[in-house]
Amino acid sequence: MESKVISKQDIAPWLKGLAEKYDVIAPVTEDGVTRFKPVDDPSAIDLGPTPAKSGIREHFTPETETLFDYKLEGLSAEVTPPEGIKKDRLIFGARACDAAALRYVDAVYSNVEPVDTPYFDRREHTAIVGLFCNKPSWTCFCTEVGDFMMNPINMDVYLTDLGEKYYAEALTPKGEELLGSSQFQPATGADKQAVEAHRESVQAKLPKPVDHAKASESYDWDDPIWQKLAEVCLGCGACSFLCPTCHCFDIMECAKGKKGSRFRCWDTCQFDKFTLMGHGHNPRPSRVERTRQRVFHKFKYSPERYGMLGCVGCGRCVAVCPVNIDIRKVIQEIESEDKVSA
Amino acid sequence: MEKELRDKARELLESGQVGTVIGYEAGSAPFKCAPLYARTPEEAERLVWNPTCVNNLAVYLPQAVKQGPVAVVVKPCDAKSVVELLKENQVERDDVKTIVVPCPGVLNLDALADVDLSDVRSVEWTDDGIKVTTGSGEVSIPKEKAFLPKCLSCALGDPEIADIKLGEQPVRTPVVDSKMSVEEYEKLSPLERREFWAKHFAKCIRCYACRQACPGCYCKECFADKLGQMWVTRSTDPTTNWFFHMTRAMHLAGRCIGCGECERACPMGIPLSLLGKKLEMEVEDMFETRPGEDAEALPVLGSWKAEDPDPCPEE
Amino acid sequence: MSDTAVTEQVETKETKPKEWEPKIIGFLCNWCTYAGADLAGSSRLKYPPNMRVVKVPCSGRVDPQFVMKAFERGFDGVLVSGCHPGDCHYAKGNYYARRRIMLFQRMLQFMGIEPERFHFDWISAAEGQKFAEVVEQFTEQVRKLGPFKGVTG
Repeated sequence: MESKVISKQDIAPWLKGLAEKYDVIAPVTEDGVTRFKPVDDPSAIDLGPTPAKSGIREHFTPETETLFDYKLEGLSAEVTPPEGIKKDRLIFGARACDAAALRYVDAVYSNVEPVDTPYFDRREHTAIVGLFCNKPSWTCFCTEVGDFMMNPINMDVYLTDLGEKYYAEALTPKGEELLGSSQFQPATGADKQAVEAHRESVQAKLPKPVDHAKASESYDWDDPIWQKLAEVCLGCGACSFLCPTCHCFDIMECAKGKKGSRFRCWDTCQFDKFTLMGHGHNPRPSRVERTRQRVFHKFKYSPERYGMLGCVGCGRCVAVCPVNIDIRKVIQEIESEDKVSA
Repeated sequence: MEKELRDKARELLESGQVGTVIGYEAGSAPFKCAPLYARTPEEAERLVWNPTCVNNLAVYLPQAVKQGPVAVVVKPCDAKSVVELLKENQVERDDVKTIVVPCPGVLNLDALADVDLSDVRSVEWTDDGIKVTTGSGEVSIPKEKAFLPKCLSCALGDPEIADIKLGEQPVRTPVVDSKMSVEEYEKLSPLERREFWAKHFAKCIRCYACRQACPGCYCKECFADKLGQMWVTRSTDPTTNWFFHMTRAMHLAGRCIGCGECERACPMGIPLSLLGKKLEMEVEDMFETRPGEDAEALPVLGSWKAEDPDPCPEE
Repeated sequence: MSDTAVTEQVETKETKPKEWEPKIIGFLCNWCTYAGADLAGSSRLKYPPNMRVVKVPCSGRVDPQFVMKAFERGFDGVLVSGCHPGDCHYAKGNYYARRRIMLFQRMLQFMGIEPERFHFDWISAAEGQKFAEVVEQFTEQVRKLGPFKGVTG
């Protein structure tokens, strides 16, 4: 598909032109925290330089989502499912890691019947315009766990910031349609070369790929590191709730007399009641089991079950952990030479 | 100072006075530190004391003392948490030794917003702030920008519980009145206040980082996790979030010592220490007592006086 | 008295009047204020019917969370009342309540709940007249403020 360019000044008119068909969601900074939110005014968009604090996850798996409302009448109940997506959405400025993470969540939510229809409804009705990371954060390590920064997936358009303009590549038919707007001009050979050189230079500063899936075959269940992490970890959910591949949820009801709703909300294996069972047993009673679970799930069980890592190297867990548990250091330690069996 | 700290830690461990020294070690980046449980002299060598040492390590005490006596590195603010834990019988006096470090103030990461974080080599104290060394030179940042807000209004001297003092606390000249943020907030009308919290609680994702980072939140089962009596569902709508944060604030009333870890741990930038500060001020105003100062005192809401303020004062 | 026993009452005391009437809930201690309310009734004293009563064994049983739950569920006003200090049936319960509830009252104001929506008082078993007057005054006070728009609204 043909590559194009768009002047930065034309981004706002372009997005405004799309407003009839799409609700635009983009990074907005409020009180110093940048999150992806619906925007009416493109001038409010804050694209960086570094990636937003939280990603695009909540727009596919909302923090709280009503599954249905109900009203009891005698011995029967009237159940009202929620309305589906009414209008297509366009997520502008997503990073490659956040878009790549959707591949993993897709796999989990379609793994068994019934598939997660609200989630896939949102997936189907959302276009994603991604942005190449000019200035990765100190916590970024996506290149270590995949090559989607250079070869993005789950995006319709990939933009690269070239200073006064963006280089725009359509990656899907929907992307081609988006780049059909009048604001886009064909890219020149010089543009293409500039982009390639620029991307190479950014990639060169990031970690080299490591085959964590292979290394995870030798992870030690009884590694002393789990005890150490358990002592330091506070057991909050900050890492999981900011993680783009995390997808676990709890289901609860909110009832008021004869009416109520059933909803789902984010949950995390780091909470102590996560695996608490009805009969009182908890197979992960301490942070030893729970910190181990997080690492094993992302780097060992996910490759075994889905053929891909459960981590896209966005580094948000590292940035947000109040006690500086750095997952890069953890896997480095458990994969170190003297531990991996020959 | 680091040498004295490491020597003292080694001495405590080698003599068997404690089994663990909980302190700080270098983190995964030069502007971060991580908590360290040092149990051997070799591990004690990793202890550091620098502007990145923001954590309140008292949060680990109730669990850590189960294995025996523990020494903990504390700043004067953190030491107040130890007093509260003693007051509430969460640790026995014989099981904890505080190692009090002289603290000019600790790093506010927002101060590094204009610095290339991937290029930072070290963060050190200067006479009036910090010095950040990067690959391309040095940047001096004055304390008004470099330190956390709580440090700018700190007037603390030697703490009540100071088993080992590794030096004198600097003479403090608070640059910000500690009640400032509360006074600013109280200029808002009732409707503006509700909107203020509505805006902030809309961001809350109920990760409970605030609760987990707080040394005062040590309940085995938090009210928010109860299912039998469900005070709050796990829905993240602003009203449910309001209930969670209001209740947590009331549960810490008279116990919150203002370490600010809740606000630091919050990934969404919610000004939680405002709640704690307000209650601290009200407790002092109404009951003439401050938390974190007297380990022998009774808990504020677990005691009463005949002359307490009354809703019908004319009686 | 378990938390559930109290909150079930808070959560089910809802009616939908045709024209807005203040919806008030009162946490009244069994030995004093509730008896005072009883006396008001048997003396045929008139007072507005807007208050639903939750009887608690002692004002010391009143957890701020009960009041928060009431506001969360949309009550327009909350009253807490117990025995006068020194007269508590359980000797000290109301002293603890006094500290806790007065501190909580300041917190409610801090969070932007109009102070006139919450009232804390001492009403004894002999004060049927006072009970009727307090309920009358408080109901009118809340009526003037209008419907409660929600803790974050």
